[in-house]
Order: sequence, then structure tokens, then C-alpha cells
Amino acid sequence: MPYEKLQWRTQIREVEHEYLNVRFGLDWMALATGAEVAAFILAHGLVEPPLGAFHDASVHLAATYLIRMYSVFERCVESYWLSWNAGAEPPLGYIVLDDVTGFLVIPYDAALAADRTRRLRNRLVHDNFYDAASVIDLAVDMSAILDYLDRLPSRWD
Amino acid sequence: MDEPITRHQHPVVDDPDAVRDDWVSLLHELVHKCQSWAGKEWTAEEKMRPMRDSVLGKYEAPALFLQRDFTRVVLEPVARFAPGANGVVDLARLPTYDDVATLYRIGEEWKLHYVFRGANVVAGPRTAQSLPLNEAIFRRVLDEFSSHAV
Repeated sequence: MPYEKLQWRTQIREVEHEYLNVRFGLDWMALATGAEVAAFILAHGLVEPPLGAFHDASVHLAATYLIRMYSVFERCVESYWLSWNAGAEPPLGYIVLDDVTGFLVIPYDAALAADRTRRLRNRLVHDNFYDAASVIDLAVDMSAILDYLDRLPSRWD
Repeated sequence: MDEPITRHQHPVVDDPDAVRDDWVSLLHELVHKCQSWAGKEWTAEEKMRPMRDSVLGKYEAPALFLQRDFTRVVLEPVARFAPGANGVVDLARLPTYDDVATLYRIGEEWKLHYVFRGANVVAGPRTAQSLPLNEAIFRRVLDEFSSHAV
């Protein structure tokens, strides 16, 4: 099955759009008073969320979406790696990234930025989500993986 | 958790200013050569592009815009450092950037990598798809861009 780079880019953008919608909702809630939130819940028959987690939800939102975004990126790079290693078992993520960087002669800065995002994503998933999550700028990491993706060909089989 | 860092070592240079000046000078040379190869049927405009590099810092490098009828093309510097290359430059069709040939500076020579119509799409820059940059290849890529633009 041929893979189109544009499809992977679109998937990453879709994750971003979902993030922006949820971000908007949280920001809206943050601007409302407690009485307004209570009135809104009552007026629309909604179930009141555990509002004690509101602050954490807001602070951790970008990290949650970064994990999803990176997962699309990782599948994309892996599928490209498989295009010239057909039938092989893909190695660890950083080796796949390094192989593709070397194979496509991807500039160091673009490779390092993508690798930085990979490490950050791994800290979130495998290490300490709460420590790493509060310092994430999703726009920076999305830009890093999209810049790397730009260096891949338009299409591969 | 101790995460492994990329195996590609970050470039270290003794004199970043000298490396940057050499690189910009090479790009000027490339831009002038490509402008001449394109010929009079393509209108050409050279512009300086702001660059940011973790080794060379911020600087400006020459880019070349070409237009013939409704086909617009940019020859655009990407980076000085890449694994196995001393420079990367894109030759892309505008405005979509969906048709891109990449030029790699390998040793003292510019190599062009482009997936010509009907070629193996998986080929990487180190395969037979990499061709020495010359007038014939350059014009062939421009012609292919033009045919895709229609």
C-alpha cells in the first residue's frame, strides 16, 4: 500500500485541531466563575466533572496530545523505514529515526529537534509524566516533527 | 530513565564564522550557476533567506526564485550540516512544495536527488537516484516541474 506523506501530515494536524478545541473549552471554563459553571451545568443537564482536577487537566493537556501526535509521527517514520527494510522487525524508535536520518541525509538540526521530541515523549510515557508535562510547548514539538517529516519523500510503498 | 541520544553526532567546528562564510559563498556560486543554467526563458530573482543553525547561529543565505509561465520554483538553502553531506539545498516547486528535488554537497560536488516520474519512490539520496548536478539534470528537473504544474 502506498503511503502519502500528506496523509501523515494531515493526521498530525487533526490531532492539533482536537487539542485546540479542548484547549478552547478549558480556557472558556477557566474564565467562568464558579456560579456560571454551576448554572451552565444545571441549564444543560450536564454531569458535573470533578472540578478539583481542572487545573491539572489544563496543565497536562499539551502533553497528552503530544503523546498522540508523536505516535502518528512514529508510525509514519516506521512505515518509511519498512519501505526499504521489507519484512524486518522495526528496531527501537531511536534507531529507526537514526536510520532514516542517515538514509535521507536529514539535516542535523532537524534530526536533533525530532529526537528531542522523542525523548520528551518517552519521559512522558515511561518516566514521570507530571514532571515533564508542565513544560511542554506543543507548537514547538509539532514543528519539530513536521520539519522532520518534510524531509521524507512525498510517497513511498 | 536514561534515554539514548541520536547516534548522529552533533557537528563541532573550530571556526563557525569561517564555515558559515564558506557555506554562503558556495551557495552564491550555486545560485549563479543555476540561474545561468535555467536560461533566459526563466525569470530569476535572488533573495537572501534568514537561516538559523545550532552551530553557525543566525545568518542569511541566498535563495533563487525562478518562474516560467505559471511554474514557480525556489532553490532554497536548508542546512549546512547533515549526516554524510556538507550542505543541503532544496529545489522545490511553489507554492505547494509537493515536488522537491534535494541537492546534497558530497565532498566537493553537488549531487541531486529527485524521484523522476516512474522511478522507484523508496530510493534514498545515497542510491543511484543521486545524480551529479549539471545543466542537463537541472533543466530536466525544471522541465518535470513544469509538466507537473499543468
